[in-house]
Amino acid sequence: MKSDLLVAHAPLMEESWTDVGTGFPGADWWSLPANLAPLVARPQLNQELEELVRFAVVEGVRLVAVGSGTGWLPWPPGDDARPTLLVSPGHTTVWNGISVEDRQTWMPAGETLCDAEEKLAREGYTLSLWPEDAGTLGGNWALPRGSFRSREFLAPQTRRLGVQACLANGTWFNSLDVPRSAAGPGIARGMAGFGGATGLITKVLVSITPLGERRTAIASAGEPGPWLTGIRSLAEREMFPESVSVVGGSGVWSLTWTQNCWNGWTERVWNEALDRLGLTETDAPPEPGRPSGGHVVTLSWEQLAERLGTANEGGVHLSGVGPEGMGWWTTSPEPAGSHWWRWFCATAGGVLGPVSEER
Amino acid sequence: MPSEHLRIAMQKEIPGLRVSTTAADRVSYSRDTWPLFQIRLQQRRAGHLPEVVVWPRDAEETAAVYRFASRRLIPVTPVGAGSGVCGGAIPEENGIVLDLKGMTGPVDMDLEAGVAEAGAGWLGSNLEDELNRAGCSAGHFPSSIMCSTLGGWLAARGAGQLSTRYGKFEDRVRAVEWVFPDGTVEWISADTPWGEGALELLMGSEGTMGVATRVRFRVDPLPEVRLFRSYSFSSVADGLDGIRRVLQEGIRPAAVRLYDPLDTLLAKSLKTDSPDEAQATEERPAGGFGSWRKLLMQQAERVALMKPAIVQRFGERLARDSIMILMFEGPKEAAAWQARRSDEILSGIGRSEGEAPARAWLAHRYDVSFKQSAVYSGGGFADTMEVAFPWSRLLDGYDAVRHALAGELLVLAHFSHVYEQGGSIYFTFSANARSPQRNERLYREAWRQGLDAVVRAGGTITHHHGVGILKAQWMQDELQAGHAWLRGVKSALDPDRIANPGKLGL
Repeated sequence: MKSDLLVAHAPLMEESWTDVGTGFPGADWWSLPANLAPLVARPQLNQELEELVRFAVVEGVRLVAVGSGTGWLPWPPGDDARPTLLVSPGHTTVWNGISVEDRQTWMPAGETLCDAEEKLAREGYTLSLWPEDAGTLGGNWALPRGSFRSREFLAPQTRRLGVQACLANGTWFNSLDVPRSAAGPGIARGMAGFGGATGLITKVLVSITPLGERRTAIASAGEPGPWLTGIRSLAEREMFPESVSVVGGSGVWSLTWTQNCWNGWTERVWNEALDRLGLTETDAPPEPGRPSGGHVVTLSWEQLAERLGTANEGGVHLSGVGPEGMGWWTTSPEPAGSHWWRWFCATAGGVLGPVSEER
Repeated sequence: MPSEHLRIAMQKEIPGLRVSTTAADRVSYSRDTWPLFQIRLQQRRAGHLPEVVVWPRDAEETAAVYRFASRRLIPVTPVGAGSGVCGGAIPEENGIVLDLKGMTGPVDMDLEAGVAEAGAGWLGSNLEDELNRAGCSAGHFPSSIMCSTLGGWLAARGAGQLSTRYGKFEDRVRAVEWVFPDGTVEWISADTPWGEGALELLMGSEGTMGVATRVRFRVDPLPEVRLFRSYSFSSVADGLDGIRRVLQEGIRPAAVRLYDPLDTLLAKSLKTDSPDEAQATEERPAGGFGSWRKLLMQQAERVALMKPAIVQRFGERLARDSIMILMFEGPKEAAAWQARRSDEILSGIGRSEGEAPARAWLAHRYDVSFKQSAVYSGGGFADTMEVAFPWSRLLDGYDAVRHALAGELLVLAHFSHVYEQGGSIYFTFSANARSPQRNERLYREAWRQGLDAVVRAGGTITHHHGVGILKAQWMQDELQAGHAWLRGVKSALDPDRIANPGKLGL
């Protein structure tokens, strides 16, 4: 089937299509291949998505999951001649609110992080460890890039609790809303990093934290060394911010510290941080812009000092803190994983997957 | 292939590999610590004997064993220290048992980065001692710490007694050196975008997708302080309410355990309250009053387990309160704030019992470890079922399982491993059906009734013991379409199905 006939034949209602350009602001970043269908499928019901996946299997169509198009993965190579259809799977459900008793909520995967935070704020809660940007919850699960937030134990995955996903044969995986099962591998979190190749995520179950008074303070300096010493000493006392960001290079550095003051301890941390880091509170919190592309790796305090000593020429962006160090935005390539590519092919049945074969 | 032929072929193809076909080794490795095998021993029944047992020294030798097995379609069953209680290390289809305990060597530590790297064969207590000497800790303290390995913790997604503060072991793993069933070796690190997901799919695979030979994991500095608290509550519901409020205040006690009334009663009758007295009991020489008391207790227990329903009813009438113990540790200021705030929350719901019960728990916390329950020598059996629920269903889950098991079993429970979202329930059940055959029937029925009840109540069938053979039939209930998906992963990584076949229902 030719890609332009896909739209006519795919089992979707008329209103379940979106224009690539208008639906996805990031679409122009991509060099779109010729075998790509001109519209993006945006199923409105789980059943519609399920039928679309089965259609793709029968017709030999490749489905590529998209959220809001802010992803960083390169487009798959052009040697895959199959017609390709972009599918936005996160709009098949609606939000049913939070479970206050269980401190968690199921949210549609297509919800942007900004919108999700806004909805939760109205209920008095926050996702807390997630970046606030135009990316979707599903996208951040499928392609986690780290976070500006402080990360307790440097393990943001502990905030990701479960998913509902349509698998490559049109069946459904539904995580139990139960803490920490040991019933075999972690399928839900196992979908992290595979860009939708292992399942089309429709809903995510995430941990929520009460939203107190969110306060932000900033500082600027000619070099970041003293801040890192201060942040480290606070972290060693388990005094973490909600988010922290150190940005700079060439002798101009800025520090942004945000605290969700929701209990006695976070209040204490806020006061201590103001004092220790020489911060000034600001009314207009500047949420730092995320560098385009790349992901966060954890660097130890020693590695940070070493890298910062040689990084003054280029821009440096540190975000998130744990006792052992801070997150460093990088665009370095990842090592290839031969087994994992073979595994992709087998589990995804060749139908799902935006990940290039070079990986 | 007969054992001796296999041994000769392996030693020819993998020079230097230690291989055994002795009867003693084959019998030893026919079982793990699954209580069903203890019951079968009462019936004088043997398990599935492996053809050979091998002890590779590194990833390359391990990979060579898998390549050898893959070419001949021989099943490979990996074994750590054999403390698993679900039959995950049973060579059900005979073949090769791969003992990974030889994979030790020096522990590499980077305290600055808060990570250590060690061979998967390190025994937990030895590893913790080694780390402690350098001023840090793995933060993982399972009851089986003296008889479980680093690789085993990862393979079954283990949880230590201080998991509320330090996380389950899977939360601490940063990277693994993994040997796939086709004999390739690859490092997989959480610090790559896809590595986090890949690790999640390998941890908990119980040998069905290969094995870890080295593990890089997070370490923490030894705590500056430890603070102890104990509270009693007039009901389990009140105690659970207290724990939930503490956790949802952002407090992470290192240990928090709530015992149900019957477990509280037994704990009080069997344990001393002071750590000094606890130590003295441990050190008391055999014979004298201590051994008479022990004998008396064993006889009483034996008789009691023959009439569990009566004992349960009587005990529940006698038992009123549920006791909770808490331990806080870490930097002084943070631990003090957590303890103080917990006091504010809990004193409005329960009654303070001081520090002694919590300190006594710490002193006795490894008492069960590798020792088999004395119940077996009296002709009975005992086992534990660790399941988990969100807070909104935790009490219902507790009631549902107790109801399902009631009648022919004595059932105790405690709640531990708690999170903001919910927690785990650890049921202990025991009985003496007066014959080994009846014991086995009752044992199997207990698991069937118990896990069916868990599934109906919306819980997970396992929080940290894993699945093995015991719980394989409930995997479909828990994962639904996800189980078929896992079979796809298994087929891709192990097309010849040699890697621990039958475990996890794969």
